[in-house]
Amino acid sequence: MTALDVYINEGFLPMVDGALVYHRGFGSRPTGAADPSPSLTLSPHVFTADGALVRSRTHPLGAVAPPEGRPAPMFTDPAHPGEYLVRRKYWASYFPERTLIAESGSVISLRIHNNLAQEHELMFVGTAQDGGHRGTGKIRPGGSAVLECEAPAPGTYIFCDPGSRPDNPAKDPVERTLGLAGALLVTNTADPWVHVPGGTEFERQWLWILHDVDPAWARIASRGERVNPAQTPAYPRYFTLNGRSGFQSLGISTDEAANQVRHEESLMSGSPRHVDVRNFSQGVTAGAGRTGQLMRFVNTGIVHHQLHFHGNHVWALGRNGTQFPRSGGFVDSAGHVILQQWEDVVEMHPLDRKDSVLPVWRPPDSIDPVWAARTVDWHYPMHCHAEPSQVAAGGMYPGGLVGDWMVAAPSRVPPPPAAEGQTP
Amino acid sequence: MPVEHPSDATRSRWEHGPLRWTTSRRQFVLFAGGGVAAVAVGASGLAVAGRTPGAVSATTSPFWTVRILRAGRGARLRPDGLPAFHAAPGPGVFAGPAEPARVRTAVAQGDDHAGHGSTDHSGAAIANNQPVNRTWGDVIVLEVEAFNATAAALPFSPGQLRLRLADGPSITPQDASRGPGEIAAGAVEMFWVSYLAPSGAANPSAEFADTIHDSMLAVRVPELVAAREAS
Repeated sequence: MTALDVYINEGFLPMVDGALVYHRGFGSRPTGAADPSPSLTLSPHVFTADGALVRSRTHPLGAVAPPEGRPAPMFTDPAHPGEYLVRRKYWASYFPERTLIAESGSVISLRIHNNLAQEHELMFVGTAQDGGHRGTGKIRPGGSAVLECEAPAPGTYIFCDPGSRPDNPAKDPVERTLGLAGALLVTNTADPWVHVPGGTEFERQWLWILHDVDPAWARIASRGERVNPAQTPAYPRYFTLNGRSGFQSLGISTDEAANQVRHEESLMSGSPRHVDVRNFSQGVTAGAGRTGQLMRFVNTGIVHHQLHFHGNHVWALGRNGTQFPRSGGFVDSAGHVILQQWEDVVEMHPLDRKDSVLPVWRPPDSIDPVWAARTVDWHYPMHCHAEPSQVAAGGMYPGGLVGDWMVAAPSRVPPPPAAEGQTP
Repeated sequence: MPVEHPSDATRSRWEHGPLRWTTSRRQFVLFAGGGVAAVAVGASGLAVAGRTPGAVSATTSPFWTVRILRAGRGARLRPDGLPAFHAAPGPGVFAGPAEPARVRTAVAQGDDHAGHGSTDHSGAAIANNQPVNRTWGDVIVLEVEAFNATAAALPFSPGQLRLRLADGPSITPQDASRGPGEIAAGAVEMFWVSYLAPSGAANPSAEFADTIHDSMLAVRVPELVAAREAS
C-alpha cells in the first residue's frame, strides 16, 4: 500500500483583488510561511480499488478526458431537433485541487507531516460506519502520523483539521477556514458513471468546493496566535469556488492556462439533451442516450451558501450521504424537504455535501425562433444568493462566489444510424 | 540579512534609461511634467526613456523599499462617452499633456458623478465625460518601484498597494502590469498599478500591506499629472 505524503503548511496566497492573505493548507511538499510558492493544496490523487495510488486530475482512470472539460455529443436527437444524444459511460471527469478520490473498495493511506508550530490533525468527517470520524489525532509540531482506512460508501466527504472539536468538527471552524480542508470523493467502482449504487447515471460529474476566507482570522493566525471566534467573530471577505473568486472563478482572467483549468474542472458545459428526470439512463442507441451531468457540492467554509442557477433548474438527489426518495417525501425537523425535486437554489450549510443533476436542457424560456437561430455557446450564471458572498474585500463586485455553465453551440454530429429516416 | 538598496549604477539606469523588464502584455504611455518622461509597456517589456526630475520619497522597512515614481490621472471615458482606454477599464494606452492633472468637480447637479459637465478648480469647463451610471470616472495610474531588501525571495502581489483617498476608503487596483509572484532576494522591480477613482478626489495617498511581516507602509503619491489615451 502506497501512502500519500501530506504536509500541513502555511503561506500567503493572492486573493482575487491581489491582496496577500495568510493560509494554512494540506500540501504536497514541505514549504515555509514566506515561500513565494507555498504548497497549500493537494493535487487530485486516486486510491484505486486494486491498491494503487495514482496522481490524476481525471477519473475514471483511462476514460477519455473531454476537451476543455466539455463532453462532445454522439448523435443528433431525431426526436428533438436542436438537441443531442450523449455518449453514455464514456467521458472522464476533471477534479479540482484539494480533492482526494477513492474508488469504493480501496484503502486510503496518508502519511501526514505537521510542518507548523501548533498541533494539527487531518480528519475525514463522517466516514466511520457509525457516522463518526476518522482522523490522525493531534500531530505535534514537526511530527508525522499515518492514517489508513477503508474507503467509506460512495459519495462525497470533507476532510479537515477539526481544531479543538474533533468530536464535532462543525463546532470549531477555525482551522478549516484557514485552509486546512478538502474533499474526499468515493466513486462507485462497480459502475463509475452512476453516482451511488442504485443511483443516478451521469454523463460526467463536477465537484465544487465552496470556501470562505477571513483575513482577520488569517492575520491572527499568521502571528502564531490562537483565533477565538468569541473575541473575533467570523467576518469572511473572500468567497471561493474551487479556490477562485470572481473573474478568476469564471475563467475570464488574463491567465489563459488558469482559465482552461476552470473550464475543465469547474464550469459545467455540454450539448443540450432532452433529459427526462424520471429516467436518467435513457438509452437510445448502443452507447448513446439522454442523461444529465452530476454536480457534487461541498461546503468547507463557514457561510451558509445559496447556489442559484440561471438557465436550468437542477434536480436534487441527496444530502450528506442520504439519497432523497422519489416519492413519499417529507419535511425534516430542520425544515428541509427530503425529496428528489427541482431546485433553483441549492442551500449549502457549512460542512454540507449535496448531489444534484444539471439536465443541460434547452433553457425552457428560449422560444423556438431564438433556439433555432443560436450559433454560439450560451452561458448562464451561477451566483450565490447569500449576497455578501458576491463581493471581495467588502466591495469588489462581482468578486465572490460566482460561476457559470454553458449550453454548447450546435455540433456537427450525425443522426444515430438506427434512426435514419425515422424517429427512434 | 538585509540587502543593500539598488546601487547607484542601477539607479542611474533607472533614471536615464532605457531600462527593460518583463511585465504583462498591456501598455501605457504617460507624459509627465516637462514632457520628458515616457513609459511604455510593450509585448516584451517596459522601457523607461527619461525621468521626471524631482524628489520621490521612498518608504522603507527592513524588508521592502517601495516608492511611487510617477502618478497619472485620466478620465475613464472620452468626451463622447466611450471608454478612453483600449482595455476596458484597464489603462490601455495613456498619453497626455505635460501639466498637472486637474481635479474635476461637477456643477450641474452638485455631484461629481452627475455626468452633466464639470469644471476644474479654476472654474473652467472641461469635457463632459462622467459615467452616467455614477461609477467612478477617473483612472489613476501609479508607476511603482519595489525592492526586496531581504536575502530571500518574497511573495509579492500588486494588490498589496492600495490607493487611499483623503479621508476616504482605500481602493483595490483595477489592473497592473504584472501579476502575483515572487520578487527575488535583493531585486528591484518596476511596474504600474491602476485604480478607478472618483473625479473629485484630490491628494490620494497609498499604502503597501506587507502582510508577511504584518505591517502597513504609507507611501507618498507624487503630484498627479494628466493622462489620456494616446492617439
